Amino acid sequence: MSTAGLVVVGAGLAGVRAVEAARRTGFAGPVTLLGSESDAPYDRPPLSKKFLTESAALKYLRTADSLRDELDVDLRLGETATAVDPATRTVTVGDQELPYAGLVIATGSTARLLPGMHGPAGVHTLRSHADAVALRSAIRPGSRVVVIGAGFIGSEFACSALHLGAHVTVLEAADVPLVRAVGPAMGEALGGLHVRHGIDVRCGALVEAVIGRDTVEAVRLADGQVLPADVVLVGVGAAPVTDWLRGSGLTIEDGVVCDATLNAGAPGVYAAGDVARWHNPTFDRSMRLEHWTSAAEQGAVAGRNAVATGGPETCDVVPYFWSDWVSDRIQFVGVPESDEAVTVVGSAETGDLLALYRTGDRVTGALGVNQRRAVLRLRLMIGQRADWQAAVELARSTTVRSR
Amino acid sequence: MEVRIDAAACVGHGVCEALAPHIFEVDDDGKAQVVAPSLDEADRSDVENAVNQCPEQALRLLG
Repeated sequence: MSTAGLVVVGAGLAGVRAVEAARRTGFAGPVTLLGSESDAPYDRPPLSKKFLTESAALKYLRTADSLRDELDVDLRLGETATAVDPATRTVTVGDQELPYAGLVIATGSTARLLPGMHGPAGVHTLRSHADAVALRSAIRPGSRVVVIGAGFIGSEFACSALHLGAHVTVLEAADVPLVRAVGPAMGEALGGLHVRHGIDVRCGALVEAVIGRDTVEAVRLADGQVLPADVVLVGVGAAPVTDWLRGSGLTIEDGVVCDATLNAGAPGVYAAGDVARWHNPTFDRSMRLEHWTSAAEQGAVAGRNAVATGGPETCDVVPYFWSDWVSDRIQFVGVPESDEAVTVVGSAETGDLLALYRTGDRVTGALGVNQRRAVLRLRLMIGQRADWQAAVELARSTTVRSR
Repeated sequence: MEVRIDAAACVGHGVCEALAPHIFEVDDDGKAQVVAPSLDEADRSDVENAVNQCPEQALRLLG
């Protein structure tokens, strides 16, 4: 029987940051990191960008050797947990019951599928290294690419496919792209960027079927239109990987429900990354984020809390994500739900947009296109719960104008 | 203690500046710079935090 230490389920960004943070606090007990993929922990954002456009190598967050030798981690790749029992403080891995003193659930999310549409070859999702390898070999100059879903994965992939010389059509079921990410007004503005880049975006397009027996041939829309396709990417969001927690007694509601310290409601059990739905004190509401920076932040907090001997710390996050479309960098901080979204400077079309989101008299969000300095300073302000007028003034004084 | 910024890797997310504004600042070219005149042990946890949270792995702590 091994000694109970820290067990981290999921070897993505949140899982790696959890083991690093636990070790940094001085935790000397056993640490086990389980990863369902065979690769050492790697960075996902490049998979929809450089990995495709420049055939970049996989970027590791830490090598297997570094985890094993420098952090003394029992790294188990190609293994995952199938159950948790908070009463006995054990995790089931294969036929083994692995005891834990602290547990971090960091199983991430998986690409959502469209029922009945993933049969023929040539229909892809984009989440893992294997997904990206398949797409990289599928796209050639002149390929007819149809992207289902104008979210950030779909948008980035569309830009990369265009760069590789493909003909790209993006289909979005909603009337405006990116509504969930940036709200309706700014979703429309960002949709204009795609048009500028030469991507055909069709909103209100309902996909009825993917045509093709063995290999995809076309996508049929509800209005009868048929779009010939060599490659189809389904980018309709991600679902938290929580199936394995059924029967654990933990509360699952679109993610593992956690308090402000990322505690999942059982002693020593924390969650981090895409799989965690926690109470974010900065906005005093429950949220689940699928962003790089929040996974890193939550991973570190969950790792520390899972091995802490004192009281747990809270996880305060100002959400931040970025997306690179051709040469434009889109950045969003805060939350899109607000009383109003106001363009303070520029426009998406001219590549210098800065918009602020107001809730009451507070600034609660900001969207920038090529406005790096302003956006990151607004992230600080949002975290400090700054008032609206101060944000508007800061935005006006730190933005750049194109030309 | 010294922190090195890989200017080729840095794309100006500004995560380091958000975590430790007294140490890092993103300049007009969108690249992070170290603005603290010197670093001492009191800065170690801030710098480590920034190194770990950099989305591009552009920061390295030496010493």
